[in-house]
Amino acid sequence: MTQANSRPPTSSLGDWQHLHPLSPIVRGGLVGLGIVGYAASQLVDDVFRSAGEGESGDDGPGVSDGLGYLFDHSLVAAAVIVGFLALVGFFGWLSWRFAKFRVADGQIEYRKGWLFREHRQVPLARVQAIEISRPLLAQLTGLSQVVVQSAGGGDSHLKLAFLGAGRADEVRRELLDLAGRSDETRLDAEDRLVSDGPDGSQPATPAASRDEGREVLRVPNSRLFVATILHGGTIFLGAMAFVAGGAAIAAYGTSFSALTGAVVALPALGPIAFGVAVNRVQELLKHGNFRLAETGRSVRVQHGLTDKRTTSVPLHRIQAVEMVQPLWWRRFGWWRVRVNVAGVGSEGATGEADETTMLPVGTFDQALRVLTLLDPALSEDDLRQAALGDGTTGGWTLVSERARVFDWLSWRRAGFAVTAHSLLVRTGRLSRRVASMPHARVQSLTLEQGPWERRRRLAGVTLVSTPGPVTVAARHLDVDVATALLHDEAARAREARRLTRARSSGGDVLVSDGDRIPRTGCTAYGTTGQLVAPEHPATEPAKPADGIPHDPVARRDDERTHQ
Amino acid sequence: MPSQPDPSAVTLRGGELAWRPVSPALRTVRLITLFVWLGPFLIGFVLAALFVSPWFGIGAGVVAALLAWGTWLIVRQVSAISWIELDEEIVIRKGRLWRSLVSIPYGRLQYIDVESGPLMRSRGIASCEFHTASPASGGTLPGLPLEEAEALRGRLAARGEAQRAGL
Repeated sequence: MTQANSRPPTSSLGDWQHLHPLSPIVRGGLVGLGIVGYAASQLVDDVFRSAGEGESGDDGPGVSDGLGYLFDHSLVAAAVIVGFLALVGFFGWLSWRFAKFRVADGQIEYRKGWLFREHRQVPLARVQAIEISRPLLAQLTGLSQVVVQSAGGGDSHLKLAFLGAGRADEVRRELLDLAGRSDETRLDAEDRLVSDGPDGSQPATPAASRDEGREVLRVPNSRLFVATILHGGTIFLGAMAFVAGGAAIAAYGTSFSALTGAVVALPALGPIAFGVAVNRVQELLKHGNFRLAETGRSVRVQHGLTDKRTTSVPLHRIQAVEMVQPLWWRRFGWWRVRVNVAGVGSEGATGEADETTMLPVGTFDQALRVLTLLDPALSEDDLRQAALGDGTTGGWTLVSERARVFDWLSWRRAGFAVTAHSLLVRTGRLSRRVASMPHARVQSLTLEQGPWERRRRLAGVTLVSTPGPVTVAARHLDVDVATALLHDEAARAREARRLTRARSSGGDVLVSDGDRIPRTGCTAYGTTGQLVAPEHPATEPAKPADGIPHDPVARRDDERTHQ
Repeated sequence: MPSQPDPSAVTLRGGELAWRPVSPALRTVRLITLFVWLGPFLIGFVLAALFVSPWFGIGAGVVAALLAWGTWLIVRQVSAISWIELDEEIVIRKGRLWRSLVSIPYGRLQYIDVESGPLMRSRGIASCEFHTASPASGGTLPGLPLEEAEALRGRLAARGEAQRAGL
């Protein structure tokens, strides 16, 4: 927020300030309570025992001897206790003394630690929500912790633990003020863990994403059932049963004894079968009654056979998409669509897969429809080529010829293609997989090379996305091609970010990133790695003149290069 | 600041850009850590070999080999880490056997952690960890001189602010 930057913090947060003095004790509370409780119980034990026996010492050597000794010599005991308390107090004081926070230069800064120092800062503009929470012990002492949630997920939260309850409210209000957010943001944080606007502007009114929307598709439960059963685990089980049966027949002949042989063999598969069954049933329960609706700027997913859940995912939070066709589904032409959503998937395994599956099983056309709905800048032709095609048709660059050892099955297919909007990666010959990530969503880029790749002069490029099921990585490329792809992708991501910035400072953040970026055909990469950054349109055929087509129709029928 | 380094000159091998190495003190710190961990084992095995049974010599040999290998590895690894600040990204190269290069746009930086333990601090270095919205970004720059790490943090935070992009 520019206001927050320019205006010196009028609030009380400008200077370094400490947390509540009790906070180290509350933080270490449980451990402390445990220790104190244990010591107390030992002591009481000793008291009773010595009281019962009248005289201590004839207890024989025991565990509580040390404490008994302390009890007998109350001066020493007092010294130990005082010393212990002093030590605890001292460390608590140190921890309190070195933990401080402030707001300066548009950043919330938090320092802590005496031996291991840590300094963390979260830009105000990155603040997603500010919450106040009160764990049990804090409640007893009347303290609260202020949790500043930033876009980086759980790990990047900044916890101010603890402040007095009143002070915590103040701090929260002031931080929200400084971050230019209102209270509704917090209330609505569940719906929008990561908000779009770099300047904190609100995308749509929440009401827009709450209404029913237009239904895009439903997945019939019968199809889901078949698709769920057609899974590596069940196929493996079937094959094992078949082999066992065959072996039994071979061993015992075709008589009754073969049957008993098979029956004997079955329990061996029992645990595996049970595991697979549980897993499949869970999958079925989760994705049953699947419905996908579109509400303009978000999609609404409804699913669950027993436990019905409705989630609404704003389109602008979708970071990467993939469509997958397991080998077993090929006969039916079924695909699965999954996405990475910013802010989802970083927190644990539960609920992770829920919001990331946009189509548990569907026909090719349905998959295309969902994908183009999720990312309007993707073209169906590109996707078709990515999903079903092979070779270099359509501007695809394949893995290097030297990589055939690694991709002996899929070298004809595995590769990547660059469109003006996103990078597409396809892999897998038997089980097909296509992943796509808009340039504007690239978090960071990596270029990697293992020892075996180095010997063959290969390298892989990964477009790092937010946590989720989709990874966009082009592996086993020629080193020069990979390097060129890295540069090209970096340049395109820069450009896309610049556009996003320009757009958001212009005040119009309502359009998702892909919409205004002109789409060209896929760029062909020569095996020599003569790759061109998008700033040089001369060598890139069929690139439309620079400029931003506002007409959504123009985006649809642009020319594509097929090389 | 290096003057306008060309982002398209970034390669896995380094190329002709002015890559900056990390502080050699990092090597010292890592070697000290290694010896602190393995040294006692070596001494233990040697003593056991002398006073208990010569068979413990095998253990001593193994630990010595581990030490030698670790030393070699650390020397090579530390010398392989280098970084460069470009106009819009910071690029970090690492590794010899498994080479990797990560390029983190300033606009994507969520926050930067500067950490240093007592050992590192005694050698005047700190490690800088760059966090984007993805935990897999893996941008860690170990072994920067303390003041340089602080300066880098401030600089990148400012640049991130200027080039910030929404998710």
